[in-house]
This record gives sequence, structure tokens and C-alpha cells, in this order.
Amino acid sequence: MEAQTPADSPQGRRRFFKGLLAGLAGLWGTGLLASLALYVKAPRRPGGSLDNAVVVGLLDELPPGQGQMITGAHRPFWLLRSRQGELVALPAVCTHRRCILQWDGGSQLLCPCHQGVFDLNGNVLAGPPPRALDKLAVTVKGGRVYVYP
Amino acid sequence: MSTPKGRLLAWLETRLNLTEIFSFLSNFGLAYGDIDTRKPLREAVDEAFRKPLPSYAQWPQVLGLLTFGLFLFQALTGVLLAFYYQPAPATAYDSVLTIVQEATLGWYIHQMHYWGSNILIALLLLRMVRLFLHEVYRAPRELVWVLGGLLVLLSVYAGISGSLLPWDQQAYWSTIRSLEVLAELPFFGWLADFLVGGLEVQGLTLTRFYILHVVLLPLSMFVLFYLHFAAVRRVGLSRSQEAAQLRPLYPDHLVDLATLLFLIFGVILTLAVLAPAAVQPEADPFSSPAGIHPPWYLLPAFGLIEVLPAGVGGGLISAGLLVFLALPFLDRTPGRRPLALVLLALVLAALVWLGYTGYTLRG
Repeated sequence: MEAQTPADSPQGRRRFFKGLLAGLAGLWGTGLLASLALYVKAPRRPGGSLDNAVVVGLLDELPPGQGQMITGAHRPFWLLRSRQGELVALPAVCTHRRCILQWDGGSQLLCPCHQGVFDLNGNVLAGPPPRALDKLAVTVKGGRVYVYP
Repeated sequence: MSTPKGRLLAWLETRLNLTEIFSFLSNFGLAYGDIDTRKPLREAVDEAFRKPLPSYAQWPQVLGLLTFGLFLFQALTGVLLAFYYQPAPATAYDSVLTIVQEATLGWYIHQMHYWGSNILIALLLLRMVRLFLHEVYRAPRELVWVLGGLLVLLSVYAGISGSLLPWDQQAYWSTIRSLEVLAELPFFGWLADFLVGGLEVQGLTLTRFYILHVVLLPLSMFVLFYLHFAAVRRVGLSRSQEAAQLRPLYPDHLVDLATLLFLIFGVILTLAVLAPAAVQPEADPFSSPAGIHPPWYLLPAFGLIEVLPAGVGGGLISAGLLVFLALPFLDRTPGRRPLALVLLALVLAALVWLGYTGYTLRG
């Protein structure tokens, strides 16, 4: 079949233009779909500036060895202060099935749903959680605690 | 039929009535004429594609097709906007800023939706003028006219409800002007008042306008379009006998169709770039900026209620709308065209004059 229609015959030209048209239409459609996909993908907000920080409260309100769950941001997180006075902020959302983690009052966060256990660096110690918790940045300015959730 | 495509088609065909689906889709202006749903898809499609048709994708029938294409375009861009939009006074404006400033190409989609709506309303109105000129409301085409008129009304409601959503100063204050007009109209206005939850523009108004704009009005318009196409299928395209220029659906009509849709898309793109609607500061109920009007399609009504004493203008507009919708049943005798043309010219001149009056009233 192919051999019987040389490239410069009317049929060959017809096939060429059909292919050209299909190619152009495909290119156009790909561009359109790509633009739509770029639009639908939610824009990533730049983190790290004080504008995106949550003011948790005064540092003096959280004595060493105490912890507090903060619920004002888009996800809850634990703000813990070690006995040495070091501040740690960890998301209170389990990486497994998004259950809310509880603090044992010591050095572990416990998941009530499937017995996952995290240490205060966010590492998984036990249970099914597939990923570590991302530690949140904490800043103290003028006696106020800022967390970037 | 041993190709993979053929095998897939055969597999589906035994499990789904594909021809029925094709017949439903072809209702919306794609193919024209009856499709035998008992035949297999290949046969039905071949038959539909080969059948010569009157040229519905050419002047003057083209306006109907263009409006439906634009309606689909509005549905698509509207869905994209709804990916980000939040219909509550506290968050609406911020979410619009997210669309126009942060999302990739978001400003473009916003502007295209804005221009698409204006062009859709303009084309629906233009279409009514052409139906009047060509007497496409005589029996048996009364429903073509009535459904077209209802589409105009619904698209105007959709325009009003949509113009509040950005929740900027222009949106807020032009909606107050629009509601002022609607409140004056017996029946048509009361309906709107009932639907928006009072004439105060507040949180409930925004929520209700949103659900009207994204669900109820588009759904109703879609049903009207469907009924309209069904009516055209039954009574035939107007002037099809005179034109007598029959051409096959494929490729002639489909090429026309694609060309038209590309053209209208190009017009919208151009307007969106060259004449974008500005996003103004956030709505502030305690400061009304000067020079805000209702949308252009309400300007004649706005002018009329300001010119005439209270109560008269609104009654007149409602009566006019009823006459407009019921025209096929009021004007039953063919002929008398000079009179009809003079009337049309008078009505158009009055609309332009009233629109100008409405525009200059609170300049």
C-alpha cells in the first residue's frame, strides 16, 4: 500500500497535510491543557517571612518542660519547651492517616489511631507512619514566639 | 473490525448504547436531523456525517450556535475560577486576588470569563433582533422565540449575579444599582428580591448569588438550550427551504463550526488582553465611589426608572418584558412588515437613548 503512493502524488500530499494538521492541532491542544494544568495547580506561597508566621504567644507563658497544642493555624501543631528551655514545634497531624497526635508529657508524640510513635525530632520510633514529621521553624522576637506552620 | 479500535468499539457497543449517546450529543447543534438509535454507532455516525444539511453554521443561523459555544466556554472558565473562589465576604476578595495575581494565567481566565459573559448577552440580544427581522416566531416557531427570550432574561440574571462575586468596589456598588432597578419591577424584580434574600447587599446576598450563578442559572440555561435545539429539530431551521444549499456535515459543517469557535475564542482573547476589567479595591459599604453604573444591559431600565415617576417605570418594563416574551401569540398575522420594522427601530432607538440617560445620570 505505502509503496504504491509516492510522496509527490496527490494522495501523498493529502496524507502529508492531514498529518500536518493533526500535528498542529495536537500541539495546540497540548499547550491548552498544559496552561490549564498550570492554573489549576495551587500556587505555592513563599514561606519564611514573618507575614506567614503565627504568633503563638509570649515565651514566658510556656515554662520549661511544658507543652501546648496550638490550633489557630491551618493545621494544629505542638509547641514544646524542653527542660533546657529549647523550643520545638511539630505538626500534630500523623503522617499515616492524619489522626491528631498526643504528647505524652515527655519525649514522645503518640498517635491514638494506629499506635504510631514519634520522637521530638519528628522521627518515627514505632508503628505504621511512613514518614517523619517535618519540624516547624520557630522564632522568638521581642519575647513573642512565632511559628511557621 | 479486527483493529484494536474496532474491537474496543465492539466491546463497548455490547455494553452501552453508544448510538443513544451520540444522538444526545448531536442534539446540541452538532448533527441535525434524526438519528436511528437502533443502528450501531459506526453506521449511525456515517449516516449523520454524509447527510446533506442546510448551513446552520452560516449567517443568519450562526448566532444560535455561537451563543451555545460561548455558554460552554463560560461553563469551562467558570469551573476554573471556582477552583479558587470563596463565596464569603471575608474571603471573596482575597480569593479573587489569588486568582488574578498568584495563579498561573489566572488573570487571563478571569478576564476571559468577564468578556465571554458580555459577548454572550450581546449575542443573545442580537439573535432576538435577527429572529424578529426574519419572522422566526410565526407558527410553528413560537417556542423558538419564547425560549430565546427566556435565555436572554436568564443570562442577564447570570450577569448580574456574577458581577457581584469579585467583591470589589465596582462589584458591590454596581450590584446595589442593579438591585435598585430590579426592586422597581413588578414580578421580575420581586422574583430576584426573593432569591437574593433581601435588597441589602451582605453575606447572604453573596452566598445566594454564588449558588444562583454557578448552579441554578447555568442549569436552567442548559435546559433551555436543550429544549431550544429540540424545537429546532422538530420544526426545522428557518429559511432552510429558500437557502436550499445543502452540504454534508463532514467535513463542510464541522470545519465551519471549528472556524467559528476559533474566531470567537480569538475575539475574547484579544479583548481580555487589550481591554481588561480592572480589579478595584475591596468592597467598602461605607464609601461609595462616584461613577458606578449597573452593567450595560441594565442601563436602559436604569434610565427609565429614573426618568419616570416612581412605580411607573418599573411597571412599564415588566409589561414590556411580558409583551416581548409573548410576541408570537400577540402578532399572528404575517405581512405588515413596514410597521414591524418601524416599531423595531423605535424600540432600539428608545433603548439606546434610555441607556445613554442611565449612563449619564450618576456620572
